[in-house]
Amino acid sequence: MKFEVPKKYVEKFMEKYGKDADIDKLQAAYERSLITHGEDVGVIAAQSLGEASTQLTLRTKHAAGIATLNTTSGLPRIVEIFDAKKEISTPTMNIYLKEEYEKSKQKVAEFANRIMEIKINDVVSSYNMDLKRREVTLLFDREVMKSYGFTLRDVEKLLSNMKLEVEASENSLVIRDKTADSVKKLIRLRNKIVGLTMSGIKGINRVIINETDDKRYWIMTAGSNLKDILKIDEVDQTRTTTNDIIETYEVLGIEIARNLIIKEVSETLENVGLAVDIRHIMLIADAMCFSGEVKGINRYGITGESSSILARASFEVPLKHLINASLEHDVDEFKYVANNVISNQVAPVGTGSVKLISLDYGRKSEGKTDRKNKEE
Amino acid sequence: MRLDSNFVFNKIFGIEFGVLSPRMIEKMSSVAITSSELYDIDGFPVDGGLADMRLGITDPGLICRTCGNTIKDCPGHFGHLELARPVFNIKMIPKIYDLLNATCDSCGRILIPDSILKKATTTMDNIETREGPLGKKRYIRKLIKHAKSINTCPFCHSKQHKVKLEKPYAFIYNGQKLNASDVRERLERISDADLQFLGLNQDYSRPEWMVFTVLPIPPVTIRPPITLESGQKSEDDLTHKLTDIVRTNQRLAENIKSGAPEVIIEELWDLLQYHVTTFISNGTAQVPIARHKSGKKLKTLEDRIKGKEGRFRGSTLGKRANYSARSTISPDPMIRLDEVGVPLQIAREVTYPERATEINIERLKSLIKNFDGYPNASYVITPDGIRKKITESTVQNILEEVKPGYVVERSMLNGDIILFNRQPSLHRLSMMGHSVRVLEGKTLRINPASTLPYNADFDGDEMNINVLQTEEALAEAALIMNIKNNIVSPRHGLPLIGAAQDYISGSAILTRKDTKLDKSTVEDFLTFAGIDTKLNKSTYTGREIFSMLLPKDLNFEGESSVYKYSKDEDAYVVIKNGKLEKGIIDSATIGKENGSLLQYLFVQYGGETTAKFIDQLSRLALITLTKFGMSANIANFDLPERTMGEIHKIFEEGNEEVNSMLKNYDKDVEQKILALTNKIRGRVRNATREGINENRNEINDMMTTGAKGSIMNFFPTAGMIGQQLLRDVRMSNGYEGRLTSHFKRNDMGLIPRGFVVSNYRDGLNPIEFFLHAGSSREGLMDNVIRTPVSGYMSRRLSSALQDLKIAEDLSVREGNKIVQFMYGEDGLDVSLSDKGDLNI
Repeated sequence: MKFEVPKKYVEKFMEKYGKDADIDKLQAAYERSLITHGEDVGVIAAQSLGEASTQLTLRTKHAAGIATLNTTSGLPRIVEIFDAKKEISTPTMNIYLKEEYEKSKQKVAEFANRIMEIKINDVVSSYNMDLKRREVTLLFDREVMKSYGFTLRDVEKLLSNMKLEVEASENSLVIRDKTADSVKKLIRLRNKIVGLTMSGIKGINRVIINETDDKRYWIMTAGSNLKDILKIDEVDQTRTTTNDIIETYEVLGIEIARNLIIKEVSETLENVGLAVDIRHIMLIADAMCFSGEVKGINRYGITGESSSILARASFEVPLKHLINASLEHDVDEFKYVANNVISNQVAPVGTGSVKLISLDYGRKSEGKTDRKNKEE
Repeated sequence: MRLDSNFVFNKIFGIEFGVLSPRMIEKMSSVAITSSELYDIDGFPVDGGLADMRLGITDPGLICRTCGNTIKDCPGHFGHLELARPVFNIKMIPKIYDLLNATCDSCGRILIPDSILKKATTTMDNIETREGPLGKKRYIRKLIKHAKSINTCPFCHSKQHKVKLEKPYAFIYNGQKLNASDVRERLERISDADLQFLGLNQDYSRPEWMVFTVLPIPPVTIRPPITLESGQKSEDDLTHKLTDIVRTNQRLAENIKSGAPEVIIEELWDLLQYHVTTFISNGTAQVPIARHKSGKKLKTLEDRIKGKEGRFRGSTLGKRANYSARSTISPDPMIRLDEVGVPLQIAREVTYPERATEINIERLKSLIKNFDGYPNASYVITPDGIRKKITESTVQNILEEVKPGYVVERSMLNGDIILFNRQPSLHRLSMMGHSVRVLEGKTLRINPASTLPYNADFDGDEMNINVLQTEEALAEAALIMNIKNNIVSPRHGLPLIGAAQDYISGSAILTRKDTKLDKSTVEDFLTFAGIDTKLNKSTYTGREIFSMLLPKDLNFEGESSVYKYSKDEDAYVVIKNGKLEKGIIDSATIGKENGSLLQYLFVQYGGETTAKFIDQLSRLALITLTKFGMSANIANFDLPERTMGEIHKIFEEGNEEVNSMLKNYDKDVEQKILALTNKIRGRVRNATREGINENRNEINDMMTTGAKGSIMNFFPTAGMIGQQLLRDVRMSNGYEGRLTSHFKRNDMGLIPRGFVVSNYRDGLNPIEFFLHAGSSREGLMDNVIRTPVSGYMSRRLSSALQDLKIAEDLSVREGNKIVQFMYGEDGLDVSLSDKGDLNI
């Protein structure tokens, strides 16, 4: 089979040696550097990351500065990505605004304050509960409220569509709920009220404004809500990102999720100064995504869906797989690595993926055995 | 059935899974178990007992009454036990539960209307072609879930009462307990036609087979008794459990026969169910664990299969190998890179089966003759497969007998290809092909240039060798797995094999601008390095000698480590037509995990040339060091007064700043101080770097050439160690409000929070020493925790990706699924290209 040199290399070659350089030289070099067919690239990728990960730091390490966020890094982050966890430990977003806004620090700061989620809890200074009267009293911190630009009316409005009796005084609210007849229910009511979002976007807990070299400002957040952020007009949708892979998959689709996996893994490795070729990371990302949804590398994800029963059984919880297989009358075809290793046969990868018919120690050749089996 | 050890077995193309039917169990059984006794008074197995000689043989000398083989060839045979009352198979309980609720309680049909079922068959086929068998399974799961929610049978229109499962195995129906017989009856009612919608198969998994009426009795060969030293037999855990089952079953049968009260029968039935359950799985939730008299948990069937030491991971995926050896390793720079020094003792013991041909027969005969010396042969195998040991008495006969076609098991010889391995085998480079070099001594010898891929050092590490027994394996080890062809790692495209420490110092000294050697010294050098050229000058520069190692058409340019450090133009490496024109050859060009020259050589000229280059270079470096000498001393760490003063000043300034910060306290002060300590460290490092006396400073030479150490090691040695951290913040825990009782309470200054002002050369004061040790310990703990976490990740990755391979069109496929259309988007092999790029 002849393989054409990818464009990017041709262009680089032309740039270096001129337009009429001998392209055959490049072709020869390309063919010499090609991967061998049959190569067990999955295992190579797994080993490349596995071996490198023994050198990763376990705990989160953060640069000692003030205006930075604490993001998970190192081995825990890699494990988290490969697990395709729904809830990642430190979700964060990089929000860029459209060009007309991003140059003004004031506008960016205003925007940042607008998206930061403020809950009622943030403006309450203390609260009181009275079981006898079935009411919760919230005492508000005037100063803080003012700094966020809220009034008691806003809180009242927020509570108006809940079936509650609300009574306002100077800087407190008395909320009565007739159904709250136990301490438990009262506490639940209080927690519900206190957790209500007054303004901002749900999930954005902290905002930090960063400055680029050419005096543009962008926002880093703790907490992530890609779907709602992208809906905002000022946001530059082409550059705004989150580090939450599942969220990205749900909002932007599988291709973007795949690219994000590659980006997040290579950045994590780069931060600790480990060299792993991008091909290995790409392969793992593709293996996680090629089915059309993001699947983790664990028994609930791609390993659990391996075609070979024995491969699944030899990974984790063997009995479950064996019993399901017998109930469903499954057939494990010995076309994979694990089952051939188990049965002491040549696995169909690498040199095992080609057959050489030879007389082996005077025994019947493999070729003959094959034929015999087929006849039967 | 007679099994011959030379029988040609067929290749396994697949395994079909199914549930054993009672008929099948009886059919494959060689004996019906009738007695709970194992042996009679004379110690012979009882007929119909659990050690019946028809179940297989575990004693040498006895003959199996089923197959007529001895212990070596008898595979063991199943028996069966007729159960007085049916019992559940504990592992099938969830499926039985599903089935009971998904089918009608009176007519046994699946609770889904006919109209849907008719469509379901085609939908199922469609899904299977579109999404594969897993899609079909998902669909069936949905069907069952739907059926379970239906309350009126669409066929007989009877109202449904749902069954409740009371764990572990009690089914409650209409407030009454369904026993195993009742359940089995209901399962029998499910029609064959409905089975496909329930994920079952009429020929391989009829639902009623999930309740045992006949129990298969495993052969004794899988549960052999062990004879203790006292001569007493100790039975296997499985046999213990089986005895319980048989005994309970007998009692149950007797009680039923004698018409005992229902309560007693129920009780015994429950007991039988318990024993059968623990026989299969001893550790199901809410089932009491069956124990030995001593309190030890019985290891039953499930325990044998699962876990790291279980059948799958312990026995079938991890195998023990013969023809292998293990010993401590030690370095030997004088053997070739691709060699491994094997002790004579090992070489004599571990053999390679060489086939006699007309060409080698004389040589093999001389090995046979020398059976008690070295090199020798220890066994011959005739074409009929008979193995004959060569001894004093047999040697003459064997010598006459051997002719082409015989296989001679001879000792290891120089040049044989073997596999060399060190655990943990984290990547494929942990096991590579080497050629044998038989040496005196008892350790395995390894060239120090090849330690990195194995991650080996010589503080007592042991390594394994495996002698290959077939020609195919030998060919792979000699070519694909050979260390020479694995110099560059597939992980990042950098050479893992190369020079380190002394070799870098040596070659840096050799390639210095002012290194000149007279003819006789050059002769010594070249002899030592094994280079054969004519000398026609009286003096040579070091660079000229280095050039003799290079291929004549090599053109290369690159930064050296010294150049990166000092920007000294002369240190920049330029090789034109195999001549080193300028530049210092150091870690950036030939170092491990670094060397750009090695990487270039490997990609352009191949492994053979690169290996030879590394071999010759390391010897050249060695003799250079021997000739020129290199020694460091404590004065290398001396910094000028001025620098020491500056470092002191940096600390004083920092201290003052901290004090003023503490006076204007705000909530971020701790973070600000932390940032400041980092700044202090950076300033100390820079001051130290500028203060290093570069004149005849070997430590500095080692740092700049990349042989060993860096400024990160130098500045705490010569300058100041700096802040000690614990969990990335300044140390603060200890006594109330202070680290140790030597400080004032709540003093947040630098020193009271673990700042070490001393350096390693002058030594730390006791408090500093204590705090420094605390910080170091954190690193050790971190390492201990990290190892299993990353090991588990590795295992998951390789389990998930093991079947991905390159197809002929360079796409990546897993079976018939395409994962990537072009490997890595361009099809390049990382280790064969320029670090994953194409540069020419």
